[in-house]
Amino acid sequence: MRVSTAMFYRQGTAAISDMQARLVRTQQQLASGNRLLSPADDPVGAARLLDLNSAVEQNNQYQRNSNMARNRLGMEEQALTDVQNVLFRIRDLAVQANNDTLDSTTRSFIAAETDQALEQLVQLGNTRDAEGNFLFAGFSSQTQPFARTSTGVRYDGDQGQRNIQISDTRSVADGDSGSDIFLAIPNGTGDFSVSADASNTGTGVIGTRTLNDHTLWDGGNYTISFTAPGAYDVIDGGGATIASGTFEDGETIDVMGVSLVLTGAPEAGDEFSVGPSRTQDIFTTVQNFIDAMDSATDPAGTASLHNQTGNVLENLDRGIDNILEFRTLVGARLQVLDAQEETNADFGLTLETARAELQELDYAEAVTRLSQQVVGLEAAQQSFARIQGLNLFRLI
Amino acid sequence: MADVLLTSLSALLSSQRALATTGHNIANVNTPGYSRQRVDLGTRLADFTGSGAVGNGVQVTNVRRSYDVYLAGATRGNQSEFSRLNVFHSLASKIDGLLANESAGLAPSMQAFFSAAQDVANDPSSIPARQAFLSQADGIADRFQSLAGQFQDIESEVSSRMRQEVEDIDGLANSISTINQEIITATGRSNGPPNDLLDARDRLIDELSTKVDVTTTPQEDGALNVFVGNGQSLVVGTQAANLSVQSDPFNPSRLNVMLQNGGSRTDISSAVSGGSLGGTMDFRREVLDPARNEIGRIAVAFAATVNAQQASGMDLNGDLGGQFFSVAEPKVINRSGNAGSGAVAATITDVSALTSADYELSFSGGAYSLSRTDTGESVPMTGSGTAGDPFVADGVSFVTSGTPSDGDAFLIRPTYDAAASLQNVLGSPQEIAAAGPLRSSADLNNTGSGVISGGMVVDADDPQLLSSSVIEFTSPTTYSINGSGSFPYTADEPINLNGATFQISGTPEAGDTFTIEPNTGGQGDNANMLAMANLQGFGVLDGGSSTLGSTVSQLVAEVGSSTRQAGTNLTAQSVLLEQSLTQQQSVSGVNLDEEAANMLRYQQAYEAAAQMITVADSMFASLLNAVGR
Repeated sequence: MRVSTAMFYRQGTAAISDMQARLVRTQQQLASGNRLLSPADDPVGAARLLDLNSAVEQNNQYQRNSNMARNRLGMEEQALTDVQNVLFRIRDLAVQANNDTLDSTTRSFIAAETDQALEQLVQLGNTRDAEGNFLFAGFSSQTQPFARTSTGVRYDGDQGQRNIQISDTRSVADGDSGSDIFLAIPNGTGDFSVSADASNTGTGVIGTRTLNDHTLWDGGNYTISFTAPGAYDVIDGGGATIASGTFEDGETIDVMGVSLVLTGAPEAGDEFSVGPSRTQDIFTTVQNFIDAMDSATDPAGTASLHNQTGNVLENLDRGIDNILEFRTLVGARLQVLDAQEETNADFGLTLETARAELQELDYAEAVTRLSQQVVGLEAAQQSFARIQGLNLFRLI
Repeated sequence: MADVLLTSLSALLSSQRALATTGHNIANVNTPGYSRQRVDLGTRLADFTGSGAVGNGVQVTNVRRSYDVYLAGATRGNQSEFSRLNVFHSLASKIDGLLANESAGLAPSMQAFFSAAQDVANDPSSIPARQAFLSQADGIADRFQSLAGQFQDIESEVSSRMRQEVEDIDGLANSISTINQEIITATGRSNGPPNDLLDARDRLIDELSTKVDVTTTPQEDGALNVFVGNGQSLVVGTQAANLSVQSDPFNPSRLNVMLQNGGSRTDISSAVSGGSLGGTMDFRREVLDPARNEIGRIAVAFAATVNAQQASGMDLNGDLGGQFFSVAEPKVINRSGNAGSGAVAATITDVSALTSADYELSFSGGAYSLSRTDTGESVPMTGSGTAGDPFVADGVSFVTSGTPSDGDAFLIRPTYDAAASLQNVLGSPQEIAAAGPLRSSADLNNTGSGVISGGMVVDADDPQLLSSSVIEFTSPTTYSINGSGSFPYTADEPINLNGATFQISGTPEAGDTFTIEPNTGGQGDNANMLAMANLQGFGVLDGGSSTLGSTVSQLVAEVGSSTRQAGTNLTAQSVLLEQSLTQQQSVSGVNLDEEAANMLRYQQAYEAAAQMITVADSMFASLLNAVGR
């Protein structure tokens, strides 16, 4: 085929500039380390890359969230441990106080120490996190949740609980409200509670109390009322007598499936009541113990002290159980965090690998390509230079 | 003997002319559009004598250009398509680069916004976290605005390109009509073709076909008629039509291509194809408009979902969340020339049904009808167009007023301006509604195991949303609300109350109470911010099937595909163009070696003819010597 002279030059330079364009592209890839220079290089890959970038960021965010939750739960765990230790100490004091031989001075020492412990409990209830938020105030994190008043301890928080997102589908609570931890505690055994009337004149003391028969216990209010030192009636909430019996020191009295071991000598008119468990906050329990230390030192007063400290011990145990329950819960949440963090880390690695495959340049391949293209360009330039010199006019 | 002299003279003249043509070819070796010329030689009429026909030498019968009309036509077609793809590709690459840019693209700032929301959820009472979230909100608004600005710049570029191309085409048409005139005159005057004029005209048509696809029809008198689009005549003989741009009657900022032929003026925008003008308009229609509307659609959806979530929460001041982002309402443009007093107001009511299309609402035969401008498909509407019962179609509602005339029309662009207008209007970090508006609690003296969930807002506009309520169980299976009514209790069944919904689970006992109250002071609550952060993975577009992020990636992929396809086609087209150019040039192009050979050939022929004259001269001299005395 005829080749026109203009075409010959045009094609020669076109080949060279084409080679140069390819070289520049490879050079850009090498300089940036990116395989894709614009979405048009791989539209599907580019869209996937955006999604991957987003997923990587989100995954990192979940890890940050998880750390945040871990810090808060760690603080809660520490506070709960401290609360538990304070409660153990108060329990020790209560055991010590539940003793016939205690004189009023020792009692006042115990009352003073317990008062300090109560103060400590309130302070622990007002624990703040690193950002200055109250840990146990529910949603009202800027409001001090617990305040001592003349009538006890007031709770100004709420029952709110915050969740932290730690994966697309999973969130975990980063704390518990003061209401759940310090207030919502059942008294007595959790099923029922007993008490001796404050105006009892005898020395009757309620000892071991157990629920023998769940099917009989209906959660009503019952009173064991002594009609004479050795005889009693059991009266239900409506005032009807449902049972009567005789009593000797150390005998067990059954009330609707509840067994009470009563010691001492109740007088006529003394009353002991059995009722359903009610909610009683831990501060009231401790305050009751402090108040009980004021009891008289005569036999009836001592009996009253025993009755009260018996209940206090029981209620302290409920409080300690409650703290333990929440410590377990916090531990479980921390485990969830551990498991999720590991999953997130694995997922992050998968995402990074996928991202690298899409985005990152294969340097070995690119460098080889670069040298090939350099050879190609040189060949195009040299051959053009050789051929363009061939001209008939030179030979004429 | 005189015959020898005349024969030699004819050879001398012919060789001279052939040499002159070779010289012309050599001179124009680099002239664009030049077709090499060739001298056709023929024998002169012989003298018939008794002893036979005696030749009388040579004559130049014609000087022709080597030109193949089919190859030239193929080259023009390829050139036109190449120019179209070239312009399309270079414009599309701009948007392509814009959307995926690490620092200018949408995806990274959207991710940053939602990450900042997570940080607020982690520590809702922290002002620095809220401040950072607000900054990211400003950041994403800036990003939308700057994208819209760059789209606007590209649109301006498209307009000025169109204006320039149309001006060029108009100029070329005029030149062609002038040259047609010259060719008609030259053809009438001599019997040979006016080669250089033909080349000049072909070159103008070549140039024209880089701007727009044209077809040509040769005429008897040598003129060439030129047509664009679907046979609209651009040049007829010596008459050129007037090509100009004019603002769209719907949209003054948009240009249409108008062709004026005699008195009639027609819009040929939709008919024009090929060339750089066609490429520019294809780009506007296929890439720019959809991408711009799509960005707007994402902006609308983003603003609407974030606003809705914000309205469902409570801020640090104890108020329900105020508006977070403001975004322009759909743009309604009355077509210039509407005769009636009809007016239309459009509002977006459902982002999940929203499309990225523009619509035309036209009034004819006493009724309104709606159609998409991109496909022309008609779109069914519900409602009657009144304020109480607006027309609704594709997530947009239309309220009509006034008295339209038959044939009046309105252009409705639901998402066109959205990205440019997106703004963060939240003043202070305190106004971020991170908390749920309500908190619920179980009474501490409850004897049952009932647990109440946090409230979920279903209707943030309920005026009673922030009122307190008490749910009291009158028996284990029934409850009253604020002391009245008796409702059956089913565990985990939602209880709807004043625009919010709650669930109670477990087994409550008679006398148990649950309280619902405004979450005033609930600064540690993050319920609403968690929901806000989770919007990222929530299907808010296309009937709930697309998240904001996936819509962005889809747009990037679509624009990327268009660009890539244009790039691939451009490469293929450049090969085709190169092939047809080579073929065309192999016929018409000058080869210097060939011309060198021709030069030698004609030079030698000339020398030989000159020698013949010497011979004739000496023959004549010998004769004179013989007889002359």
